[in-house]
Amino acid sequence: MSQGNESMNESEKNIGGTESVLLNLGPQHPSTHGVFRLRTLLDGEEVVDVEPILGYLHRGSSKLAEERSYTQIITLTDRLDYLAGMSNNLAYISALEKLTDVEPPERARYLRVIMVELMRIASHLMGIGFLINDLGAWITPLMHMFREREKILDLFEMVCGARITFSYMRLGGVSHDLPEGFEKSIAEFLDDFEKKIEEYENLLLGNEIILSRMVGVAPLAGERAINCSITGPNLRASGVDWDLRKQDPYEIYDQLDFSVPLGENGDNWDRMVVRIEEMKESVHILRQCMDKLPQGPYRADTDFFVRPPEGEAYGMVEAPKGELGFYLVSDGSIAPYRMGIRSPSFINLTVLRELCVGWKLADIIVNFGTLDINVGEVDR
Amino acid sequence: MQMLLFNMVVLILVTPILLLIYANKEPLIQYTSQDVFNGINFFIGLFILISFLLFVTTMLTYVERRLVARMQNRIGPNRVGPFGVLQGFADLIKLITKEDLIPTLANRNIFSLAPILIMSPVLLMFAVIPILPGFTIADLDIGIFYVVAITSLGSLGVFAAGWASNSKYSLYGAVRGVAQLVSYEVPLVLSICTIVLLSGSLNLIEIAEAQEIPFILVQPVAFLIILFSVAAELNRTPFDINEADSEIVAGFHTEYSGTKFALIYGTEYLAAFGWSLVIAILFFGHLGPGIGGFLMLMAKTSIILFLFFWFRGTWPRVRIDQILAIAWKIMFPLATINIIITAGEILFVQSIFNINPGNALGLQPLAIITIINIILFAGLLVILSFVKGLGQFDKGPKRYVPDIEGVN
Repeated sequence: MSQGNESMNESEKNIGGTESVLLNLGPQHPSTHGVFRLRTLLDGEEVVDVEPILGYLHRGSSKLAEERSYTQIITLTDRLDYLAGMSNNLAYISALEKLTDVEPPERARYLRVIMVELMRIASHLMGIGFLINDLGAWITPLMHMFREREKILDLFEMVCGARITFSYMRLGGVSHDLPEGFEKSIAEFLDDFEKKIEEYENLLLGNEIILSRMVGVAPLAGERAINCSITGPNLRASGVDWDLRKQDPYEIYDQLDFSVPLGENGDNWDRMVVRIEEMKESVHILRQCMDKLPQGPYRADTDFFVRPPEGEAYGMVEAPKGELGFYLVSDGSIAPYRMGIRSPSFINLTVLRELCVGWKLADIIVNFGTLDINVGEVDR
Repeated sequence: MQMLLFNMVVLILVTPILLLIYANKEPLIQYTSQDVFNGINFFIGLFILISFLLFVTTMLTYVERRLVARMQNRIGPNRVGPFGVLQGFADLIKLITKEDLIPTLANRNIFSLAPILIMSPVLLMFAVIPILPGFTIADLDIGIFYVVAITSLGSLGVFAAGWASNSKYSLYGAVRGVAQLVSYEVPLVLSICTIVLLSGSLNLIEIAEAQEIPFILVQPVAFLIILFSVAAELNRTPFDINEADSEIVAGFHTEYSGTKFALIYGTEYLAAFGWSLVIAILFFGHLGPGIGGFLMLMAKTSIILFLFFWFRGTWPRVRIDQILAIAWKIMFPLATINIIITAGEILFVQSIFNINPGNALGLQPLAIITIINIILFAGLLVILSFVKGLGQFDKGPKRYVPDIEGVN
């Protein structure tokens, strides 16, 4: 993934006596999910080469973090994957808690899992909605998905007042306890959402056009996915049973009963179906959490300007788009000496070229959509 | 300028009323080769027709936006006028008053000519369509043939627009468009042939009169083939690949803005209206007399139009290779088999009922053909329900996938 100036492979330019077309998809394009540029070399409709060109949304989050206190950095993490702010918060806080050895109370752990799973549903809804939009179904499926996402954002608004940039997680707990009436609202949402998932399945999984566009298109073998460091639903669609919630349980996932949905071929179809199945599992997790939710404090007593001991820590969670990791190096001051981010969207892009070459122009958009990247997280 | 626009809008609103007043009178124009210059009536008729079409076009943009908005859990435009019905006119005025941009590297002449090339065939198509019973600009004996011939000129405009824009997205849209338009004309014409066989005439009015039983019951297969071929001709979902917004931005009209864009955008709806009218005349029974007949025809047309809007609100798009495969591997054989079966049936009933070749079939022969065809159609549906993955013709990349540097 180099910058754009490098010329394409000369031997692939001339195929059958015709000249390939160099087409820039983006940075302004309806379906690149943000300011993202794909430099594609096309032979007619067929794709010869694809090169993602990054950096249009670069904000230097990890550098900015060096000048902020540990609490202030939480607001930076919201803006990485802006469709999954809660998961980003949790990933950062898990690194910070490893660094400072703070133990959050049990209720805080449950609240965190509830928020993260709600976030996972919201993020997958957006992923599937935009994917079907990329397939050409104007914006009808997207608007239907937005309808459910709005309800989730309403729940978040009840809890912390924000809808996109939450900054909800804190060192040793969460910023607010559940408000009055939240349990009733979430129960209503879950009952409603289970019916809506059935509706989506009826509408999407039997559609002949969606089947013909997605089944068998751009398969990714499991071994290849591991070699390319793919994580998250894209890895599980290839049939690899790897989910941090099971393999390295954080928070309270070891006390919960849920399964990890797997695909078989790793084609576009599997990548979509795995996300739908994960939403069902999230509903299952949410119900358990709401049943088991203990009483007690929601936040441990910590300093606002925390000074962790010298050292380093790496915290990772299973974010909706894959494994999200934060690496913190402390020099004992109120700000980290260095912060590194392992963002799943960026690393999942590794495989984009392999998925697209040899398929049609229309498939680039769909393959790109099933990878479900977020440019805010790619460029950081 | 604003006064002029205001007058135009008033004119467009008033003309349908005029049209309805004329509807109850005797046939306005009988344009034959004898009276080419039929005095002032010809121009009045032309004026009324074109104003009516402009009115319908502007209203259809609003209707589609409202309908699709309902399908998308939205409200849709509801600000301009009562229930937002004037939204189309507001958009039109906005587009006309915008700056007329032509890209620097575009071929200026062809770029300006292309919207006219796209719009004029569609306007010309209405010359033979009996919008009111007995009201046609030209009552041609080769009516349906003329419609097919004149609308196929539209692909020229699409290619001109795409090529002259000097943009890669536009070129892709144009190339896709031409491949698609040319392919889908074949099953379309073959299916229209079955209707011509049944009615014994190419004249649209005579085709309508020959329908003792509506031809949608007599020829369900031809109806479906024509419906989807027309969807492809009109670049409507699921065949809208030449202006696929999620792939090639807006296809052949990416670079267009202002009045030129208004022409192209309006033509889409005008063509949808025209083809829906043709389908309604070909398949939905007799044309009635007077205002009642006109409203009935509009109601039939609205059903087809609603189908097109519904497709757009719900269906995803198929890929280019799948589109061509559907045209040549499914629709073309189906249309050919259909035309052979229909011809055989007509020979059969002609020999039973002693009808001379060329005469219209009566009620009883049509009823026999209807029963046979509906049984065959049911059989076809049963067969198709067992076939999975109709669109999957092209499996797997043909090209060797090179290894990614730096991985492994």
